[in-house]
Amino acid sequence: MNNTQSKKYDFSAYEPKREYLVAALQDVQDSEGYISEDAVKQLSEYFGISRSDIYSVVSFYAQFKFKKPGRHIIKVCKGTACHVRGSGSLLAALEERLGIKEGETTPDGLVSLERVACLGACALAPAIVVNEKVYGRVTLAQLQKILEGLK
Amino acid sequence: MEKIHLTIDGVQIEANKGDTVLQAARNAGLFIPSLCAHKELSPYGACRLCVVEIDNVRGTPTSCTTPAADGMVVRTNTDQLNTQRRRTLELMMSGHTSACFNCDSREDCEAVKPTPAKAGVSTRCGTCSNRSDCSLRKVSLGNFTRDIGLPPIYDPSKVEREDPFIDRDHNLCILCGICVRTCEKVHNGKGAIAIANRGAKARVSSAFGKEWNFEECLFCGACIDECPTGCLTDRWSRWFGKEDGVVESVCPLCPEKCKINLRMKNGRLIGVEKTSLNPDAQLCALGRFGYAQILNAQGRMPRPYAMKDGEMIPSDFGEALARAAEIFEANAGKILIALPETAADSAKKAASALAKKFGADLEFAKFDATSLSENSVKNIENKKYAAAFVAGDYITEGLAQNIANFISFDFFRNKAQRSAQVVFAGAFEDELKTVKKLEGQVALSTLLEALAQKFSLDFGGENLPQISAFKSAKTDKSAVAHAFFGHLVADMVPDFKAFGLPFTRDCEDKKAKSGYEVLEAKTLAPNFHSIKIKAPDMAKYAKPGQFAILMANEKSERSPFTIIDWNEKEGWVQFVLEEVGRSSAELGMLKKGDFLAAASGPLGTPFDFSPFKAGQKALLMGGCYGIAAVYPVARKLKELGVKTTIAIEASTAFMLFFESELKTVADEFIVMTRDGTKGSKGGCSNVYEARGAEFDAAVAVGCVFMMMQCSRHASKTPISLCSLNPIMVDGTGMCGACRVSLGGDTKFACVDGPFFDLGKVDFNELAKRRTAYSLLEIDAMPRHLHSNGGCHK
Repeated sequence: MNNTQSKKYDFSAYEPKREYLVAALQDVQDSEGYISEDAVKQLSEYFGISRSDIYSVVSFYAQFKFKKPGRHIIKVCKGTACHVRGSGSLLAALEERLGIKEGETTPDGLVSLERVACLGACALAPAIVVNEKVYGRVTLAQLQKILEGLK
Repeated sequence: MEKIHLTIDGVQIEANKGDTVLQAARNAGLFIPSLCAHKELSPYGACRLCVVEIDNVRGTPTSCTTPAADGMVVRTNTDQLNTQRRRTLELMMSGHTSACFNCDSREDCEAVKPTPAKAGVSTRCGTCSNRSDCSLRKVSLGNFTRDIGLPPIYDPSKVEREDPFIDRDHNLCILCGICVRTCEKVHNGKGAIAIANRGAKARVSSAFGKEWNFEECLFCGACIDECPTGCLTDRWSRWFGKEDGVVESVCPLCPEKCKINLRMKNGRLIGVEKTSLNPDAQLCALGRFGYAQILNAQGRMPRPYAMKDGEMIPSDFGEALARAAEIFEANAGKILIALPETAADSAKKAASALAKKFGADLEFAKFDATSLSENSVKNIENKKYAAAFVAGDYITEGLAQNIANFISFDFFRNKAQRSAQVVFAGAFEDELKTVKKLEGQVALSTLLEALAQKFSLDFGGENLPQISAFKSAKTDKSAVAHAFFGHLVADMVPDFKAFGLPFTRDCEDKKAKSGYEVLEAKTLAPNFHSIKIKAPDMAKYAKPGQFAILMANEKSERSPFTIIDWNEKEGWVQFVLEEVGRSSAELGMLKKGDFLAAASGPLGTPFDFSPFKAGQKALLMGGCYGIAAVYPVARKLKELGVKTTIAIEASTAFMLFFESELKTVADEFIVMTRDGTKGSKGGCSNVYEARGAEFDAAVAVGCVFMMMQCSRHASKTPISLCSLNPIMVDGTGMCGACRVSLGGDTKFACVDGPFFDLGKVDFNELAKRRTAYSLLEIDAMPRHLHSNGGCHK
């Protein structure tokens, strides 16, 4: 990871106490999309917690990412209902068309592909979420259209 | 302190209010097993071994996190608790290399191999440097009856050896968190390591999983000292094993003078430890890792020398002292005395008194200086001094030539000594009280005191010099003292190059530039490597059962290896190497395209196939390197029409290799593992014992213990053979190192062997002879970063 442009974060909304670390991490992730080494360094200085300790917290939670995500995030549901209705082939098709594996981001930074356990939209299986929008009963043809719409 | 009373296992005990149940039990001398509890660290509750039952408390709470209360009734040793502990340990063992715990022959094996065998990586207790001091082993041996049901998972990527001083093998980690908590405590809440990720991926890690040398770790070594398993080890000292004594001392390497504990073994300093987990007692990398390495570094002076008729002649202390005294008396007013400011107080006082008495210039060199002050250098250049006493490597050879009567004191050889009149061989002050020093070595304080006494000087009241300002390396690893007595620290302890310390001795590029080309190199199992080398002559003459002596580089030891396979037409020969010590590690690190400096073979008497006839049955047994070594013999037997049964054994499933190759030459193929994780549980000797009578011949190749076990059943087959592996030097019958005894006869394994009558070999003698050089082998181990060939960035 290179941090050519280093951003100065402002954590002053929080008292420098350990209990506010996760909230501050969420702020960083909201603004940057991920937790960079530089952010951990600044958090470490502000909260007086070692970087390894912060890394331990960040790596514990699945919600935090260490890599800059793509501009669009596609989440493929692999819950039971979606699995039964063929979300496996949706994921395989996405992996093939995007040329990446789940958990990765396309080299041009356009799309990140994620797999989630259940979206709670079992009636719409198989379901995927693109950015914030849920698509239900997705077919391979529909998938192609969705991909074409991403810029 | 308020007292409370509780009952543990029917025993009424008194405890302090505020104690945990575990503390109360331990203070009362009662035993509850535990791995993550540490008396200087706060309760953690990770290992789940200290579970207890308490009346009116639900479930089985961990005693280390449960406060003791008045009237509590606690049970620690019920069937349910013990079952629970066994299952907890079993889960722990599935992530730990546990084969030895499950092995039925563990006690016998450890009687033959009382110390763990050196190995590239630890794959079981038998190859773990921490065996003698392992808490996990102690707890497990008390709880297990060889019934671990889960196979161990091994991941080669969990071995991390890219950092200075510290070897880490997370295959041995049980995530007790002691290292993390120790680091946090020692560094005032800001630890350099933490447990990253979760579940099966959890691992002790620095931020972003980087090398520990990257930023936060200060290399105080506290984590290593507290690690209850063999996961974290001091690369340099690990194979010395557990110390036989600890001596309190003070670190002499910088003006900070930290209290240290010297770890001693057989009168030798094998390591340095902090005195407690208090932040004040923490050590810097130099004290923790450097001191023992400096004291044991190569190039120590064994005895004093004195110039006689233009030649340096070995001398003794009395004579050297008399010469030094003469020089002082004869050159009064024209003398320089120089010693480091970190020298012992009595040495400095005696030096001051001598300087006064003889009107000498006195310099206390800065603790990390590599030369004297500009002023002193100028004076020497201007030939101001007719005599000088310099303790340490502070002046160049050229400069020393300007001093007619130069007296040198140093622990190590230095170039200025060549133009000295008298050279004293230095002993460290610690070597006076604890370490076995050589007769001719003398501590600086002893020397200067003796000199002062010779002139009846009273030096007790002399003032001590002001010590230069210094930055503590406890909180900043770049502040580690660069030099000691004028010698660069990184020259003596090469891992400090990774800290950016200056050095003059670049690491040697030992890689052979020509010789026998490596055509293919691959790792078969942890510590086992296969290499194919280009050696047309060897390929042309090789016969089954023969071996060759290989050397990775010109300075490698000559080690014999069985020729596994060869191809005359293509001109290659294949070997399987087991990584044990330095030379085999050097061979194991070779990659395709590299060269072996030397390969001489084929050597030894080929396997005698003349007694074998088609239709006969042979049992071939291989363990460790022997798994591959039985291959060429089995192939030839099969060609002759002999029915081959190949039995191979390994400690555990992940240590098996060569199975598909062996199947091609086996009519029957049997896999044995000592922990029962693949095939049947046990070793080849079990197969021999049960079925030996079916066979016309049996051949055993493996470690001494495996062959010794097989030898007990040698009478079951008309022919029984083994391939012996003693220490070998020339391989042609000249040196006698490979002498073995067979029923009273003396044979040489290199020319008479390697195959001998299994039933006649004196295996106890063989085991003893094989370990004759074990201490020297440890000294030769590759113990610095990039010590094989590749130089540090």
